[in-house]
Amino acid sequence: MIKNTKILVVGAGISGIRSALDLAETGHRVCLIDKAPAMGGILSQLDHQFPDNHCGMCRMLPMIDRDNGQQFCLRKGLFHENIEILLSTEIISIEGNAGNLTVTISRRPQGVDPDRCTGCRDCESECNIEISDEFSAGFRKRKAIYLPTPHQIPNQRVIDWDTCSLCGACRDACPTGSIDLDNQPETLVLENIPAVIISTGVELYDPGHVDLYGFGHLPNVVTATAFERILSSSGPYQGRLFRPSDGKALKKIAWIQCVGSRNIMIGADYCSTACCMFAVKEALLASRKIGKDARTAIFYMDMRTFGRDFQRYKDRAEKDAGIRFVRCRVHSIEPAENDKDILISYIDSSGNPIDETFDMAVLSTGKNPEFQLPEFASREGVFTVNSARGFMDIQGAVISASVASEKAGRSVSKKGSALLQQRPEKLYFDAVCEEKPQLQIVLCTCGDFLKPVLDWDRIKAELKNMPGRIEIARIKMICDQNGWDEMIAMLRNTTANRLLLAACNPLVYLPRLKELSQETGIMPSLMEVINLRSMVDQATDLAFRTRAVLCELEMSIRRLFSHNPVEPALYPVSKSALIVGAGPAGLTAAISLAVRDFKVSLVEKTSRLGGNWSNIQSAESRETIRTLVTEVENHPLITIHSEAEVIQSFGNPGRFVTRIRSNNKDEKSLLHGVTILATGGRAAETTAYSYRKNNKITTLFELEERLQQPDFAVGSNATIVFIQCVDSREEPRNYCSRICCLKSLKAAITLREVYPQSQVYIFYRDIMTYGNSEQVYTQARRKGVMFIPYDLENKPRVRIESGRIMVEGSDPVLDEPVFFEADLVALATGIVPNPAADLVSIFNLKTTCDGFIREADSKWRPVDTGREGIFICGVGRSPSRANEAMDEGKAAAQRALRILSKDTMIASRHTARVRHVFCSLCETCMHVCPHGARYMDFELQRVQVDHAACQGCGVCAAGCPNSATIIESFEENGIMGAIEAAL
Amino acid sequence: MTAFEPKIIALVCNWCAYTAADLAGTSRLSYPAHIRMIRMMCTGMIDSKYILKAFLDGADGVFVGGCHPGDCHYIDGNLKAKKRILGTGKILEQFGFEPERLRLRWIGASEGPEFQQNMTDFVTAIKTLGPGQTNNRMVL
Repeated sequence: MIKNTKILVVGAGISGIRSALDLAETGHRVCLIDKAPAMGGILSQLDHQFPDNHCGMCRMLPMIDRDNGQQFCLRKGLFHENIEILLSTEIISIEGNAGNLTVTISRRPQGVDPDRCTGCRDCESECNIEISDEFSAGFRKRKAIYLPTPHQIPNQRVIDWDTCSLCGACRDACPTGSIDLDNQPETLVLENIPAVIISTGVELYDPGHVDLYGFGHLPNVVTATAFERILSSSGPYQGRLFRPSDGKALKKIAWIQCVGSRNIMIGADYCSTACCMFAVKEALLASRKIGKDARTAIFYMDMRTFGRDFQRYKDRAEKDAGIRFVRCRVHSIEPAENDKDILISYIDSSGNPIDETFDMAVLSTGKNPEFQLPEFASREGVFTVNSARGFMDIQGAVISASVASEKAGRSVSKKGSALLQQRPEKLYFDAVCEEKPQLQIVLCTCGDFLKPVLDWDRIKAELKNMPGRIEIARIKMICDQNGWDEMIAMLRNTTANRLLLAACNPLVYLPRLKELSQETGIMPSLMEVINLRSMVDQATDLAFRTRAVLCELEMSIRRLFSHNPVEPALYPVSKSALIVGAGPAGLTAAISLAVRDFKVSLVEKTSRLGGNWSNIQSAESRETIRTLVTEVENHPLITIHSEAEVIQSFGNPGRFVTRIRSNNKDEKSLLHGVTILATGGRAAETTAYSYRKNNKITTLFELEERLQQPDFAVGSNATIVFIQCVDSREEPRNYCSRICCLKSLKAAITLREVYPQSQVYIFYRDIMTYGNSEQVYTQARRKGVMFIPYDLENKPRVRIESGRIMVEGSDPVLDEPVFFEADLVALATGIVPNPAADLVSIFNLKTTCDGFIREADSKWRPVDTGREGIFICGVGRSPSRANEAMDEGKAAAQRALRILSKDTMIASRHTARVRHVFCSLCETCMHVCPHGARYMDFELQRVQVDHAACQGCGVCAAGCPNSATIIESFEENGIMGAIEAAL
Repeated sequence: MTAFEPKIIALVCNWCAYTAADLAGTSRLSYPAHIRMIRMMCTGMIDSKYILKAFLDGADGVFVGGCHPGDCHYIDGNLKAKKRILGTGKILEQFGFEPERLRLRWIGASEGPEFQQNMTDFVTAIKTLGPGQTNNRMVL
């Protein structure tokens, strides 16, 4: 039964998984629920994601506590010893007060007992109900008993009670009797829940509501998620681009942006944030698959490439892959003359109506405007992840999930409950390395299935003849409880110290090995599972099959005998943090850690807190920052080192030593467990558009400041011109600064309000009001601000003629040049990161070509760096708005808590070790290590491994010319033995 | 004479190719049973000596399956593997092995059908090449 001190995470998409893992890694118990029968949310349907067209979801997995969770693809499922997962479960109500909530959940039975289901599919073939499969976006049919996602583990079927007729055919067909047709939902009342995190994601808009786009009756108009399935190799056409209606190979595809988003008519006054990049990615992947003949077009209003790497991604898509970007709102989609293709009607940038034929149209649907969070989401003690409020890209979802877990963790730790103390884990098994290897083999006969298909006598005889102490046992079905118990009872009575399970899918058993090890005393790393069933499924005749099975068994035996486990490395954790930079991000991170009772040393280069770009903040964020500064200054656990900088740093996660030097040349050493870099940025300088040649030409940031002065004045019917993207979004500074559009809009609105007679023009390339800031754009248009788009070939020009400022541009709609005499010109110059070259080399990190500090992974680990224990947040990493920088600060603090919350870090067993006698100190391993986990110990004259940072990838072992490095479970003699056995 | 049944070792990455193999298995996509799969954490940990050992011990082909470039769980282990395998191929060639007997392919975790395809193709290619040279010729 569910223990009541668990934090409840609702929704098991990427946000939910991130929140659950964040909390689990800091020692909380978590219950993760989802109403769907499988985990993963929308991401389970997406194989590739921008901005690198890869997946990499596995990078979200714990990196230090690797032995407590899984070490395989996260799409297949999730297991961590602190996380309990309940699927097909929904919340009915939440009652009670913050810190002590009573949650009622309803859990629908899945119909199939996972412990007994062998995944044989007999049930599926017997079921005579066929409906369209949601996972394949309707391109395939499925039965009422089905596999929700193709890759999930365990791959047991579930029953869709809404369509099931309860005829019982599947139950009768099941060879293991694992189907139960009792579909009554179970209601559970969970008491004393300390906190709830809502990460339910958003509902997508149903484009069937837009009659003009023909979705629903034109088969070749699909949504972006459906197209994702066409692209996927687990999709309906194995990844080949065919058209669903007639199987024609796709060549000409159109993407229609903002379907359901940015549409005031349907109450969608928001931008769905991720769809632009989503479409660019799909177009890129499609173009790549189609090859030379690809003709892809994206019809858009503003191409919102506001992320740090997004603009370059889009440029590559345009230049290298030849994707056509058409700025317009598509009027309608109709069937073409041949009735199969589709006809898209739109008005091009010069106002001409155009009809163009395409093979297929993809609708980029955003958030459904009718979607609302449940009422209990606003309760105290319930924390909502931002990605449940609006559609978000992966990076945004991951950061906002960490923010929510930070808030939940903070509220819980204040109450002093739910946090687990050091795990009651059996760390040291009996000195196995001293014992002689003794192996127990357990062969599962899978009921009676495997009995006739293998030559068991030969298997037994040959195994007996193998060298080493081997015991063999046969169990009818390990996966059911009886078989499992039988095995445990048997293992308790043996002296075996190694276990080989020959059963079915190893990934199903991995979570249970830990449990088995607690019961039997055999170390998890000395257990191996091999898949008998799949081999039997493949090979044809009995002799060949038996040979194959024996081969696999011997390979595993050789590897198991070669394992020589050693104790995992332990690292004491210094319970304090170093934060570099006292801007919004750094200050937030400092508070987050200090309220959890960790000491913080805050190093700031300048003499004042709040960040050296506080001049580019809006009035309200300045107020927030002022409050934050006061809080930091008064917090007893935070030591502020102002006018100081870092000059040297070394150490391992959990224990860094950093030297700082203050302005008056005083040097100090700090001992800290984690480092957070929040180095920030500043306003970019420019010489473009005659800046500084006339005091009426200012930057946007200067204007913003001047607007707040009481003596600010322009003439009542003045002409004010804003120019966006000055020097930005083109090489060499080819990124969007995220803050300028919103600032220009707000300033323009203020000017229009104060001087209703004034003319305000904004020259823009794409207005980047993503998310709810779209409302400001709408408001600005309503206030009569004039918007003139320009592109890089037709930039506006600013001339000064005898003291008068002339702005010249061209209006693409009228296709005519426009002239203004401007009374004020504001240039949106954007932001650049503070120079951090010194810090980057001190901490051994990497920067982007624009000087931002590079994170470990832009999607899945946005606030981690390549070095464990060092985190980044704020503008030093990527341009961000003040609230986003503060969120990143919280997220970085939450990531840091994974280390700080432990007294001692236990490194994984699967790390590299050096046999120093063989080591020639060539340092190859130090160069190849991708995680910086190798260092030279000059005192001992040895190359050492930082086990907390080592991820056990084994690149060092392969690179070592002397075979001095070994990776546990992947020992050289084991692999050599396995190769011998295989041949 | 019985038909030539090649012996093939597949060294696969835990995060992608192994997962794809598992997906192929659970999706009932069958591939030739000649393949003996050895799971590695990363293709970057595949030492050239494993490949040489396999050939010297009588393997007819060695397949290495790793993550697509950029997908590596350990940042760039797959690219290091690529370099290493290129070099190993050259060594093999000098000892009289056809370099086509060693094949490196990128297979993503969700690419079950690609795994099946790659395995089938490789087995076909090896069957066309015929038995490996070790049994016929003293190499070392």
